[in-house]
Amino acid sequence: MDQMSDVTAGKKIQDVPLLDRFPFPFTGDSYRYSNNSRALIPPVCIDITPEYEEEVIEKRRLLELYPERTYQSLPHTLAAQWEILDMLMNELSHIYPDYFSMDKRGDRYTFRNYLLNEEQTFKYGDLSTLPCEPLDFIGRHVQEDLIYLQQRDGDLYMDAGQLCFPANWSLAFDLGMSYLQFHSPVPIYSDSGLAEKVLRFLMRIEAGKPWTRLNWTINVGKRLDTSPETFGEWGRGKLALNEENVGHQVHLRTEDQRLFRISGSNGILFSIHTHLLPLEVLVENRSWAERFYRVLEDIPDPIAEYKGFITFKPLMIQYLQKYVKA
Amino acid sequence: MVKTTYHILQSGTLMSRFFYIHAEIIQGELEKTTGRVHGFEINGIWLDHPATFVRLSGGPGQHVRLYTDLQACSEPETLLLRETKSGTVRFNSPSQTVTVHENKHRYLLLTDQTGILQSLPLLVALGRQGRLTEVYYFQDHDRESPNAFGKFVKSLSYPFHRIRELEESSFSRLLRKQTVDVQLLIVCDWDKYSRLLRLSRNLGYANEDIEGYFTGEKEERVFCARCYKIQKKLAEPEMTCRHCGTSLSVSKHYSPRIEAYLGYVSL
Amino acid sequence: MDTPKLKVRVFEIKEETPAVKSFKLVAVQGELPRFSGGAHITAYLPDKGNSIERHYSLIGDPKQNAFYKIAVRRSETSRGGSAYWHDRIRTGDAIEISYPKNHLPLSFEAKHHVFVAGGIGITPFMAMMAELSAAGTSFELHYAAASEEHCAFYEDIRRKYGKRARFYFSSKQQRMPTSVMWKQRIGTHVYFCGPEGMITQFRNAAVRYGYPSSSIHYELFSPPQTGPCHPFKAVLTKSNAILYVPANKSLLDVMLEHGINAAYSCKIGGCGSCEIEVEHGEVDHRDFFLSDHEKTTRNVMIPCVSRAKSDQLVIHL
Repeated sequence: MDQMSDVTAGKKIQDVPLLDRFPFPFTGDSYRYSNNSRALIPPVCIDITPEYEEEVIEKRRLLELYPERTYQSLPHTLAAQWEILDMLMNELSHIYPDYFSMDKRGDRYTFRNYLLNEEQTFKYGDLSTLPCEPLDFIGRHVQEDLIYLQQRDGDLYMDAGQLCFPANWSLAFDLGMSYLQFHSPVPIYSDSGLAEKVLRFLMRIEAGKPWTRLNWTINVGKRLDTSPETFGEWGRGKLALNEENVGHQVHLRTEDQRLFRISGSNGILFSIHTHLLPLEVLVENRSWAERFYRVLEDIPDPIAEYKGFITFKPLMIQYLQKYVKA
Repeated sequence: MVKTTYHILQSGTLMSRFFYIHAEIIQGELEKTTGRVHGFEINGIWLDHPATFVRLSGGPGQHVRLYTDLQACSEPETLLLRETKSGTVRFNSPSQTVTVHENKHRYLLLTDQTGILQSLPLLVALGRQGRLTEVYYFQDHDRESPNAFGKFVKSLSYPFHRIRELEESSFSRLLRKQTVDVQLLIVCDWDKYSRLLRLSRNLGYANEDIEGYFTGEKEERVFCARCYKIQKKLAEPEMTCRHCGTSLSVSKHYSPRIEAYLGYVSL
Repeated sequence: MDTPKLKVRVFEIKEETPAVKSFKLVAVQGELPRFSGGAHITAYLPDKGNSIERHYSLIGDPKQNAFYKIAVRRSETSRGGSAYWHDRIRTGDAIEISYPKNHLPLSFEAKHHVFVAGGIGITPFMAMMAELSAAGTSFELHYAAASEEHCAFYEDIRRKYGKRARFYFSSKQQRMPTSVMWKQRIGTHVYFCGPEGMITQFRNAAVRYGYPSSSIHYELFSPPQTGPCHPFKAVLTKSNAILYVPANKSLLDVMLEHGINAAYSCKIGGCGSCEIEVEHGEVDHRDFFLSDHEKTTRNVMIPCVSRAKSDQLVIHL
């Protein structure tokens, strides 16, 4: 990407407190797997938050150092990738005109990122005019992880993706798997018939009507990259938890997932925006503290085990209990 | 597990090696046309050896033919079987089945030395229905004994082709020139089975066009989450990566593209 | 259900045959979404003060999205759609359409594609052939029409696809035999679009010829004819409603009339979007989306076409 010739300070994003914008995933006092998708209104994929610069820089660092882990694509996805790039650039320039602009002259595009002072001119469909594949390129301008699911021969396949902040799953391993295959490790979801139901739902998603859902897990530490490849680096955190540090170390990790039909290639764009909220901030919202407390008290063991927090669940409950009305 | 009971009508030996029983169902139901079971009970005595069966129609009751390899049986077991002319035989629901699709017009049976036991009931089923069948036999080594199986197949008036070794590029030429009305029946060892499955899928055979299963042990592999290298799967779920030394916990998460199970990093 | 719509303007009208007209549509604002071969749009047409929905395959080359092109055949028994397109629409008129949807996608793993078109059923294959031709993928077309004069896109197809296209004109006593599918190479997929009778004939033949069901694809433009309809009652447990479905309306229509937030898309029983759970009652399945196995094992139905065998159905909606 080229630096822009005119020197302008990078645009600043309005800082809204985390607690006011964090997507809280629990709608009831108990949590079970379900198809909790709802229509995405307004139909916007990308969410720019105050953490933009920090997260995008971190994402690009991971992409440079660990390309095989963070970016994978099968050759037949190129046309879909161009479509995704076009769709997201259109969206960014329309929804965030202060931060991005896109200039189209026939098939000659110029994309500008005012937050990072970058500019790229390229020809739509011509790979030689971009520094990397289209999905990889546009992914480097947003905080979201972007996964492309190809709909082919009656099933959905994970055929391309840029994944820097996974919740303990490997794109390098899962590439090319069908929907049921890449969900097979998830207990209850994969063996109750729910996964099949959601698959049928996904295959009927229509262009112009995107959907969204929230997924969640628990993080120890403020680290976005919780890939299985680096488990040795972040997996030990839970062993050093105690009453004093649990509020600071343990985070509620929410994935804001958005699903768009890519109508040119008939596939689905699946974006994941990951948000982290430490318990000690979460409890400032008393109703959230109470709700989360009840969810943890009720959650079935297989789910707690799969999400990796079964060993310190009592510690979390003990911490939250202090903020729950008697 | 549901055991079905059959009344023995006849018994015999094929190719001096495969013992068979022809029986009539007296209790229970056999849903599948052909397949393999882990063992069977003959006149109250349990024989823990794989056996294959084919369900035959014709006559008032449901008939079945059961085959087992005498080479796998002990001397007393072999004696017992050879002396069995009547009584009852029972076996459980099959562990593996093969479906012969009615709407196909030609059937290619791809097999090897380990697949003969599984091939017998298939050939009988196809023969009885007058189906056009061709057999491709992959020879494992040049010193393989004179082929009694080949003679058996030819006695059914089926073309029998012996192939020295499964070589993908030459065999793919044969598979590629087939037409849409062909069904593949693959019964051989894991190595050939997995290669043939991959080859035929790549050449355009639909999942429904391919039936069969592998004999013997499946050679499974592990993908190391840390270094991405692949190695042989062991009996224990906890192991160490041969390449990078990381402790791994092997999961049930399988990648068909990589053909390996994911080994998660364990602390 | 709030369906997002696109505003388009009629840019060009062309008479393809005495009975078929093609229409080029451009976006009123912005760009048209891209589409894949086999996709269609739903046009929302005014009809006596109401709005009716009709589906039209997109026949243009999917590589470009400067315009959408559809073809409409004048039908004597028009349910409103073709009469509107042939008699009322003028260049410059604006209409509303849906985003493109694809219920007849090309198979990705197929090695060879055989298209069988009857009359106006040629439309989805126009875009599919353009796509395959550009990719260098093997295909052939068999196209039955009354005569050369009544064969829409005849010259266009011959010029672009040459020997890959074969025509059968009933006026010359040329019948399109099902044997065109016989002994095709392994990995061949077959696609049918046209009159229901033709589709049924070719589907049955394909199965007899040994095609696996996953290799057989087809699209109907109107709901399959499945016999007389009887009125029935539907009890919706979650909506706390009891609906009376007369013989001349579908359960989906009645639910929508009552403001029930029911999902739907094709409305002819082919896409599965309106699938609902049945708690009690015997379903009279008339769709072509659910497999035979699903019809007997899953407690669901497709309310845009399916009805009840019993007097009443209890629905989980």
